[in-house]
Amino acid sequence: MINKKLFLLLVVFTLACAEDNYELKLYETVLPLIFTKTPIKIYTDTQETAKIFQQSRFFYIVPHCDHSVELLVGNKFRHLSPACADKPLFSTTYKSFKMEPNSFGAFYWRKGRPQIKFKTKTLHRYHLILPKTLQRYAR
Amino acid sequence: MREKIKNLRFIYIFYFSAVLVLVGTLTIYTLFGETKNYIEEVTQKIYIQDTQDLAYNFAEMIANETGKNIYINLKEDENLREKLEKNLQLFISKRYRYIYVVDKAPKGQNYRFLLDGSKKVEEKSDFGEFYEPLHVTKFQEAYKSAHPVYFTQENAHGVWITFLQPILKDGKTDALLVVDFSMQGHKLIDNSLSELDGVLKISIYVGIFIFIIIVFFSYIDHKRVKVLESFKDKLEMRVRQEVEKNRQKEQQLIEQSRLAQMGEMISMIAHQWRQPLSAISSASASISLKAMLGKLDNETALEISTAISDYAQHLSTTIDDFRNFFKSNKEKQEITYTELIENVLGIIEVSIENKNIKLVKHLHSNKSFYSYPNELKQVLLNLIKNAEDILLEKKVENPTITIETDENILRVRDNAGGIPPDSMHKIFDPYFSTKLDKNGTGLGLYMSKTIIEEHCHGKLLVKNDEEGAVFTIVLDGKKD
Repeated sequence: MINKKLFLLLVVFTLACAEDNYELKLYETVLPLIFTKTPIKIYTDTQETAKIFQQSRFFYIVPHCDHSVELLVGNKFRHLSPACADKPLFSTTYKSFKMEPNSFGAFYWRKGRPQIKFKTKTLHRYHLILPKTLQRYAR
Repeated sequence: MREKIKNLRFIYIFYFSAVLVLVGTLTIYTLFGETKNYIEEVTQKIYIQDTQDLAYNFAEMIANETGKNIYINLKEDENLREKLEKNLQLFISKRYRYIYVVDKAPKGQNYRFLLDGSKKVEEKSDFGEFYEPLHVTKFQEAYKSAHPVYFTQENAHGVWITFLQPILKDGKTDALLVVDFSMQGHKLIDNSLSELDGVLKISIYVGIFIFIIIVFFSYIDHKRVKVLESFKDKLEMRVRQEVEKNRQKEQQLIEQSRLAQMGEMISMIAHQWRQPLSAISSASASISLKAMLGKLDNETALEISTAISDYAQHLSTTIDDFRNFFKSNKEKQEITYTELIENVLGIIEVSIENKNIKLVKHLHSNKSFYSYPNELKQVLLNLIKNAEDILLEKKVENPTITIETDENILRVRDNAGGIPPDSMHKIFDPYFSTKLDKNGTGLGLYMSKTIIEEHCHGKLLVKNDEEGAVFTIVLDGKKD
């Protein structure tokens, strides 16, 4: 009985001490609100980004970009298959957000501060609706 | 009860020590935290003081270089932008992580980058890129007040303090020069105090651990003490019950012993009464004879009736003596061995003489002492009766009972040959008897020993001499 209690105490203590995954929390808060469904099928350009999404039950990582993909996340999509080329993109850099025509939003770090941005026009193109709470980040 | 209080105090001292250890450690850690904050504040102030003039001059220079409207001028003049950014780059160092200029976007609460001193491409912002700072209110405050503002960052990566220097145009804030301090200063303080911090953190864990251990063991100890106390109470009650049982048993034995002695007393009374009753009978017969012969005159009748009255009085005294014998003394009385012996012999002497046993007295003690006379008489009577019984049983020639006193010692000896060695160690045991002819109860000597040693705090010893058994009573005779 005492051992069980000690174990529980240890788990709570460890969880309390563990650092929150800020980026994943943000994606989990924002993207399901826009897509109004879970899990969202995602294709990413880097292993690092894929690792972040793999920890969540709200997202499903697709290994090869095909028709089933609902969202692209990243910034280096140079050689996408035709099936994937026009999928909505959520950028991870300002440059990608600015340059890619299918980027409807972005999350990146600027001067150590998290930045989130949306493009209203691109969102409309993909029939995505930005919730009221996020509209202040849209341009 | 006293033990209980002692134990309780011990437990409270235990608890108090545990709380003291924990509170002491936490207090030290709190003090350490406050000191650390104070050092950080002082360091921040020094950093800010160093930066203030520099930022002010820079803001002045930007204001002078950019004409009426910073945004429009910088948007139109790319060369000026590059020149100013190069100037800003000069100050990027270990201390200053980011230096940039932002102004308020025309709509909404956002800000936009105008100049950026960052050298790395991935860190550099675009001109006009919207920017959402973490402490918007501080930016607004600097904008409104047109005075420098600084604050500590909590969530910005790699930034410790942010210093905001307003760039003024006609006394109004047109843009903000933002200086982000790197974590270097903070790390320096942290690294300097990390060992102490570590030690104190360990102390807290150890303190908490000790506290838990102490509380746990105190609780266990408390429970154990409670169980022991309950066990002790039960044991004490059991002992009290057993003592009471023994006392009652002893009382019963005393009663039994007295009843046994009573039977012997009746025989002694018979001996005592035989002579006076015979005298009364003889006087009565003399009166009757003289009356029949007509020779009874008043003088003779008076003389004989006086003699009868004296004999009756003697009989009454004898009864009183026996009655007193059976009364227990509740308080100690002053007495001498001689008085004691005379009293006992007054009861038993006739009986002994009638059995042709010689009674020898060597009384050398006139010292008075305090004791329970009736109980002592019972013992002495028992010793003499035992001597009488064994002398008769063994049909000893010239049977003799000798009573000796010397200071605080009384001895009763006989010449019946002594106690057999195999019985010697058992003669004071209850229900042990060597009497063959009579039915001995086996309680006489046991009671005698109990009376002398338990009640009178003396000693009753036995040994054999060359003629027979010797019983010795030794009394301290103290009043209390």
